[in-house]
Amino acid sequence: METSNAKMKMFPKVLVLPEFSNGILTSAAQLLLNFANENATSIDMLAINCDLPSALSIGVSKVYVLASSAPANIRAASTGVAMLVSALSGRYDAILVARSSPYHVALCKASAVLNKVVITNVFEIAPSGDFLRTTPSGLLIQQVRYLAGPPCLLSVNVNATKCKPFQPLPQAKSLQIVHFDAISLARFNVLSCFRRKSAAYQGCLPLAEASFVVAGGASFKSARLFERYLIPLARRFKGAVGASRSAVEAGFAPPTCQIGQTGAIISPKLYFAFGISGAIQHMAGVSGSNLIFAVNCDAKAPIIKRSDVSLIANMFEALTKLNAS
Amino acid sequence: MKSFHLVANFLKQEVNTSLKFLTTAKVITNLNGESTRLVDPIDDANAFTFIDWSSAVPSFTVSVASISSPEDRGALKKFTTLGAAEVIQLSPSRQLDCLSKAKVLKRLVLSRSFSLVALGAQSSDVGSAQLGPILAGLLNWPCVTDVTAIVHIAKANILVQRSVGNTLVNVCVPLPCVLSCDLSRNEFRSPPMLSLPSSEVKPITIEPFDETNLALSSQIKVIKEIPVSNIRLGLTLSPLDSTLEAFSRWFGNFKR
Repeated sequence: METSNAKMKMFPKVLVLPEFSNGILTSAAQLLLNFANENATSIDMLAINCDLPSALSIGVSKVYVLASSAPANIRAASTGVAMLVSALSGRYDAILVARSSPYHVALCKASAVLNKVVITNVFEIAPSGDFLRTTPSGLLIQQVRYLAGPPCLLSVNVNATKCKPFQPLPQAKSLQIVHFDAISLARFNVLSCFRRKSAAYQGCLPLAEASFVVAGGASFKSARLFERYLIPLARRFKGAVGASRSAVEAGFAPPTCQIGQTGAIISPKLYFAFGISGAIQHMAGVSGSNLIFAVNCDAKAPIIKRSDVSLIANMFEALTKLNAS
Repeated sequence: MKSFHLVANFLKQEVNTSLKFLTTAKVITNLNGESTRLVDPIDDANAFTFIDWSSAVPSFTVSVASISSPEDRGALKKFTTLGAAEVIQLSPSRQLDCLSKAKVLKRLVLSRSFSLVALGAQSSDVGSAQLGPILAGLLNWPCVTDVTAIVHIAKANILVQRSVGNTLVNVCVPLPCVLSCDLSRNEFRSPPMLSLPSSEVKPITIEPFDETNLALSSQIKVIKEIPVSNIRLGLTLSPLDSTLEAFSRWFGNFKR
């Protein structure tokens, strides 16, 4: 029996679509399972691009494993995934995906089939049953009420969630294998892939996992200066390197480093910004930081007002001294 | 000689290909604290990219559609100046959710036989990029998200580049299709002087918004908006040496 102060679970039964990378749950998928665990009594899972033992070891009630002759490109075969989700939706009270995963697109397509709206960027469910979600500016939280019937389609902003870790069951209670022809379901052809080199960033943590993030803007003027000043600092303090959109567009940093409304939304313990003006689109990505420290030579830059501690100084001078200290 | 004929045939096909593109424009309040209304910079860049294509291949026509209030008409005027064939404004009498907006756009796309719809990467519903996939789902068209460049447009397909994490992917999509684009938006664009007089006589089309044909009941309701109580300290420090020394000391303790 649950204690009186335990949180009331909103959904009796949910279907979760977690993302796997080489058969292992991604960090976003783990956070999604935590969110599902906090808000649902029974969790079922649709496992795509995951082998059977790995899918069973996660410890949810029921696992649907997609059997495909080739790994499925979720982005190309999103219509097929949407059809599958639509077919399963009648058995569930809610379907959960991570906002940052490719399943977000599949859920949106399923919403067109089911004639149900997707509630996006949800990070918490209020005791009243309303959903709390983040807005692009990061300055407001919207409390949203869902007016239609089940299933409720939720796209979760997993980086903003604060849930207890998921307690896995010893073994999945049931398993169903679904045959899925990933190749014939693809709606467009991938002609070529090109992975951009980022060898210089080895030794730095991914943005989502770091408690210390050091970021730079377009004022670094070149990728060489960006790597020379920021990477040693990130490596030394076991953190990650971030960049503003303008720095990424100028080619100074890889797109995986982009922070802001169209990049990563992070919540580190310390965010260190060098030469970043602090446009509201960028600040939306860092508003969850515990402490923002900004170094800028322009005292009128918006980031000076939006940071905890700011230093009006030449950033190269400051970085040289920090790296030497 | 054979290759010359191939190229000539290809160019002939390109010139004769008549394609109608639709890009959408979301009108937002200037985020930097001013009260002016402007088109979302991502939608701006999308429209301009396709207008560039249409100026290179005259048989391509670009229309810009916006679901916005009548007061926002001024913000849309620039698209007629820049060379859009038509600017269509749909003004619903009440707030619509994303699914309803997609239904409205579907009706527009089918009635005017557009072969490509390009939406902004953040449209719509708190910047969640769901309008494109929903519209594609309603039309049963392929949908490509995270598009960062339009490489080539041909009669039956379009070649686009998308950026997924650290990987650039070239994708060939059959037309008709829906693209969710985030094309480079830092480029400054200004309308050509010669097009100013002609744009003055080109009105913005107001599409009649007959809600009776569509079941447009919003499935979500915003109960309240809570300001984030993230009050920053706002300390400005100087000089450099003592600040950094103190910071290094403090950060050493912080990591421990």
